[in-house]
Amino acid sequence: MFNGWPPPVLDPAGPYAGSISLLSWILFAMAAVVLLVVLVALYLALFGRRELQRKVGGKTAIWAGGVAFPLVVLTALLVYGLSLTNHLSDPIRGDEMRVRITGEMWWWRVAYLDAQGQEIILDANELHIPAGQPVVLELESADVIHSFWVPRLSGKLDMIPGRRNLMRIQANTPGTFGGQCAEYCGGPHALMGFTVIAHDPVQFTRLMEARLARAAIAVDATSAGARLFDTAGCSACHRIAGTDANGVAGPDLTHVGSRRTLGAGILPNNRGTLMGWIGNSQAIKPNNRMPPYTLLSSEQLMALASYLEAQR
Amino acid sequence: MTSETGFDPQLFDRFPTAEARPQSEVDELERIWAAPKGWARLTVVNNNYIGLWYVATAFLFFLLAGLLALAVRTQLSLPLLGVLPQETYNQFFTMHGTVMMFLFAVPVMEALGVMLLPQMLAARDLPFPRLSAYAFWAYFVGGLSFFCSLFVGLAPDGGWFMYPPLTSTTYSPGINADFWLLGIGFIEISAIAGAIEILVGILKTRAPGMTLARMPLFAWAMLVFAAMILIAFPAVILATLLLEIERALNWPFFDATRGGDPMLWQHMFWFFGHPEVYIIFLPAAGLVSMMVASLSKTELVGYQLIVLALLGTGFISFGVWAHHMFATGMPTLSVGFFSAASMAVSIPAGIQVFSWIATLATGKPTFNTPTLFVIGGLVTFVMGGLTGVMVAMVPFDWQVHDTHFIVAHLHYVLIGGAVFPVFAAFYYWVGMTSSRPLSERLGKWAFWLMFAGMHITFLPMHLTGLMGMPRRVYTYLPGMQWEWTNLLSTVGAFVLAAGVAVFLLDLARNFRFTAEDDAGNTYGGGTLEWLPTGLYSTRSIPVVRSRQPLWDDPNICKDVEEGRYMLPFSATGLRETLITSPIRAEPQYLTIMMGPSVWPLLAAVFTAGFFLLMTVQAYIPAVICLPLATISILRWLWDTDRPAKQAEVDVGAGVILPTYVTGPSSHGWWAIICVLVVCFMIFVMAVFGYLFVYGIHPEYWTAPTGQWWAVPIVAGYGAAALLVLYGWRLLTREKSTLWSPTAAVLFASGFILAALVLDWFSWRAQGIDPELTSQGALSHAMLALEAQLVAIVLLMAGYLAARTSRGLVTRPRNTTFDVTCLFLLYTAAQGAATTLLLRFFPGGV
Amino acid sequence: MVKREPGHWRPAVAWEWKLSVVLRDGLPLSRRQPLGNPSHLRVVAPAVGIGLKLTNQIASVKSSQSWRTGAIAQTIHAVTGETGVGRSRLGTAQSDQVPVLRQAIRRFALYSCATGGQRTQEGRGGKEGATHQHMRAIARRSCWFPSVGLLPLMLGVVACKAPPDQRQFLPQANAAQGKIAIESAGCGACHTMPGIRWPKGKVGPNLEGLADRALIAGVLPNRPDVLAAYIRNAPSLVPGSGMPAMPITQNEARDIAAYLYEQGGE
Repeated sequence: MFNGWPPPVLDPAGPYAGSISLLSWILFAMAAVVLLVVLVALYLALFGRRELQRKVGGKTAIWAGGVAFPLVVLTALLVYGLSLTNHLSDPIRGDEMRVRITGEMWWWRVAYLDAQGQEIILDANELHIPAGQPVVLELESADVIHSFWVPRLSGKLDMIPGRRNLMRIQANTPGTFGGQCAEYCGGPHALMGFTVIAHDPVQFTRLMEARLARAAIAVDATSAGARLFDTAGCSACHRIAGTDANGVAGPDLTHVGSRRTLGAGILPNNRGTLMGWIGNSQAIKPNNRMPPYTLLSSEQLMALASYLEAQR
Repeated sequence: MTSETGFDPQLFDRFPTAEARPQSEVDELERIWAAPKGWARLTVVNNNYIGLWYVATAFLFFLLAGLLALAVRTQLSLPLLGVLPQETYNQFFTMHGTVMMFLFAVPVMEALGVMLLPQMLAARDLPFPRLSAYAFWAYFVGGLSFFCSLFVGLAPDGGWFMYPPLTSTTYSPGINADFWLLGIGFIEISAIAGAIEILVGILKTRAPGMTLARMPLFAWAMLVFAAMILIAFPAVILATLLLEIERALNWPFFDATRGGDPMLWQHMFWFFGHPEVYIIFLPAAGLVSMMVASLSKTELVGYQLIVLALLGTGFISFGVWAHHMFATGMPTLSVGFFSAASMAVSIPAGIQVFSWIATLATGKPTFNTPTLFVIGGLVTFVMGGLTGVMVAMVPFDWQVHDTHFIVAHLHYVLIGGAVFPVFAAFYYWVGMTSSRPLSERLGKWAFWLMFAGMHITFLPMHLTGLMGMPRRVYTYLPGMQWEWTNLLSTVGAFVLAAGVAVFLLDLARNFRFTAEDDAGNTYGGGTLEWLPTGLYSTRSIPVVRSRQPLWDDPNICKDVEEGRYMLPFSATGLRETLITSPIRAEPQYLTIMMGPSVWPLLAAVFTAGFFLLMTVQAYIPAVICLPLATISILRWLWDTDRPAKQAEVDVGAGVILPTYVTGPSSHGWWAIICVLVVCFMIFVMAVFGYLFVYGIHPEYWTAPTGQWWAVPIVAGYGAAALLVLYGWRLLTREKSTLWSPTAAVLFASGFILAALVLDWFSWRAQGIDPELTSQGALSHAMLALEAQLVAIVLLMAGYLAARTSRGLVTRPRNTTFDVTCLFLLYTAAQGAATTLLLRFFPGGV
Repeated sequence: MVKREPGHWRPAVAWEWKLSVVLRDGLPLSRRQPLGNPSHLRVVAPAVGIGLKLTNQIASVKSSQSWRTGAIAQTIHAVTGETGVGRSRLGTAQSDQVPVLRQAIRRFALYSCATGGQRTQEGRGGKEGATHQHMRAIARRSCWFPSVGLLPLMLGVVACKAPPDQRQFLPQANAAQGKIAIESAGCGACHTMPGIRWPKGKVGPNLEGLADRALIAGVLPNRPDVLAAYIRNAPSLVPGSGMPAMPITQNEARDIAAYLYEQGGE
């Protein structure tokens, strides 16, 4: 049958999306009822019996249908909607885990924060969260306006240069949830995806500890790929923790080998696609900010790819 | 019976007069109102021609933007198609939105106004025929050149709302964005010109006795429409101006790194952008209200309620702009306000919908083409309105905002609320301007194809949005389950296009332009536009005693044609029409109107040339175009404001009216007040921007020093104002020479210029740099706004001096003099306000 | 082994002849003309021409490597060009269409030669190739119903792919599954491949027409089992190959190979 049902908006995986999903169903029901009333009135007006037509044709009908009816429906909706808005924008307690996500043209910078607000783990295009707990996202932008949206976890919120918007997401159970930039940000806006992975809290703690430990050491530092990463100029834009590579223009590659996707949620991640991306990413995601490295030989590409694969 | 102007309503009873007027008078009218032939036809100003050309051009843009939409839909029909490459796609969807909103939807409503209103109000033409011609030509030349940017790959690609910083030079270095900013900014000026024309036309040139309560609903809608344009469009003009300055001169209004704020653009844009939706919907609703009554052959049920609904919509629509920004992280309180207002605006819409249904129930509609379009539009609009209520619910909007759900919603509202009514209007009113009506058979095909196509396209699109597909994506990856709904939408788009193609076929087969032997009242309407007309409009101007005069007075057509009503001839031998009072429509005076002229055409071409050459950075030709445009405008104005030889004339049955009136009851006064409202709104928006940015980024602002500078500057503006008032009084004193009042005005403009220069230098002396911070940029922008006004003041003063030297200034009052003085007073006031604001805020007090 | 008889009616020649009939506005080129009066071709020629050109445009756009190619513009150009031709009674049709069609003809001729030749070389063609029979059937049919048969076939030559070769048959491999495997492994990151709209990578060789190629990676014989093995672990077969070992199963590799053969013949 139809595989797209239920659509992500109506298939919530957490409390914040859940209450909106309930609201959506209420709204659909409201719309269906009102549309039915209008269509019935229209049908009676055009084809109804004379006395029914007279009823629909009076001023009372206009007052009832055009003023009283919407007033009642809308007031009820408004009260419910505003209280829901209020509930969804409850003040943030402050003890939640915090992650800073910065929209860039056309990828996402992810920084896990500690209790003091310091960036401790850097990543890109992928967010790991513990299931069953709210996570606060600090949404910022480095260039133009982007919008962060993972429909199964929450509504969307814009990332605006010069501002910081706070958003809460929560997944009830472990799982993987896709998202995409929702505010038109030029060029390959269509290819700016994002993945949220919710883990069991114990596993999540283990993952974060592993990553923290990883940040102190250089992996595979003596390989040809590591040297090439430096000499080919990769390190000017990309950072790999524990090495001299500390560029900040492009995504952090410390954990690139463990990512689900490449190129901001668009390609599977393996050695072949890494080579393809490095060799000529412009053929894959036109107008993205990474230049094509057509000068690299196949051995060099392979060396780089296997070096990056090892960065987990 | 009370009177508004001192006019005796008893005089109305003399009409229709007992005896018919001689035929020779008609011949004279025909001679006076004749349109030029051959190439000179381009200089025509009669609304029959300009109105039709205007509608045709708007419809052309509808077709062009529709073709873009087909290309866009084709690209999205399957995942990862390469029909349109990324850059082309981004230009296509931007142009589709921009052209539909700015070059089709608003202009087509203005065009229908220009075409229908004079006949509907039984005026001979709109009060400023050359202004209509200018508005049309500016739109025609500017719009087509703007569209052509697509063919050279320079079309804007930032989306139709052009959010900075994506559209700032950093992220859009090409001139694509400039095309949007200058092109659209310019076309808005043309829209404002049209709105002033329509507003004054409706308030001042209605047939005698057509009180506000007897006015056709389209006129009511257009009145609200024009007023809304005057209030809303200045916001977008200012916004485009600021962004263009930021791009050209690097003044940081929207650049967060130097204290600007990108949200300023969003506030300004949507303060215009949301009323814009109602600006499009209200005239269409007016058309529907009129058609639904005629097509059901009954009086409209709930006329007063609909008028209230129109006014209410106009009012509330200015309180809902921020519902486009729910996802930007606004404070909960303001979110609540805008959510409530957005829902409230659906009540006036509900009133209109149920009034139309009630009218259909009361009368006996037949299912002809316009009725089908009206009913189809009604159903579609209701569905769009319901999704509108949904997205007014903030949490729901957080999910569907910027997805294809919104795309579906807005197309439901705009196609149901404006496109279908306009097509209904094409079928209903085509008899006014074509010798043959359009085909019922083809019309029904067109309707059913369009209706089906519309719903096949946009109903599945709601689901596409709920499935997570954002809008404005040039492609999507497979495996998201978006394939089927997208394919369906594409199929629907082509069905819709097929419907439009059938309509075109119908036009080609049946539409034959005529001004005299038109097909006439095909659907039995009861309003004045169905009186027998020629290029001079009606032979005589009837006294209106009800809302549907043609139904209530079966003889009215014959009486009008035989000249038994007012002004069955040309009293002065010139083009003229009755000016009536704004509320009760009592005859006040006879105004002389301008005939065909090449100057509005040239002025439009040069104005468009100036803006477009600026865009393509051909500065020297642009600088040449500017004075040429100014000269053309002044030359066209030169013929105006000349009193006729006869001071008073008999317009029939012994009703004596003056031929030249000045002061607050003259239509020229009303027009300049409209212009000042526009200027004032621009100023208000600038003040809002100034305070808003300060509120967001106060850390970039320093308290101004040297407040004492304000003393001489404000004194300069004050002196100018006093001089103007003195000059005004001098004009009424017959003893003084004609030059002395003009000299006072000249001195006043000198004072204004001096005050401005002083202001400017004092800021330079303080070292506030416009490129450094948003404070510098905004204060210099406010000074620049004032400088624009001062430049116009100098021009007007020079023009007044020229007229004085030719002895064209009349005493004791003169419209040119009045207009100049009002503008000067306003400029002085705004200058003083600017000075005080910049010096005492922030931190000055 | 098929022994080609001299004077055997070769489909490629027949095709070339038929194409030229259309090209020359129905004027016969060959003496062996089975059709009496070609005037009906004169009528359908403009339509066929437009159809061919459009299809060719679409085909070339689909396989085009540049994202910046103005596909719409090309198509519009093709249509307007053709409309002009139609008006002038095909005055410029020949000069306009010849390059496009000649290319198609050459491709087809190459194809049938190559398949024929390879069949001989491989020694697998005990019975007459499916292609051969197919073509002959078509040719016969189009003799009987020329005006009906010709149009879709003309389009078919340019737009569609010829049926897969027996030689490149992989038992139990599923080309449809192969496409899914290609997408999930992201082969497109490096290769432009037939039927894969995106990505069209430019790092490795273009795999269109792979079925007709003699060698894999310029070294290995182009055989299905070799191809499947190469896809899965290229460095083991060709040391120093630019292609890395891919994280796919053996079955997936076979599916991908089947897909490439099915799609990859021109």
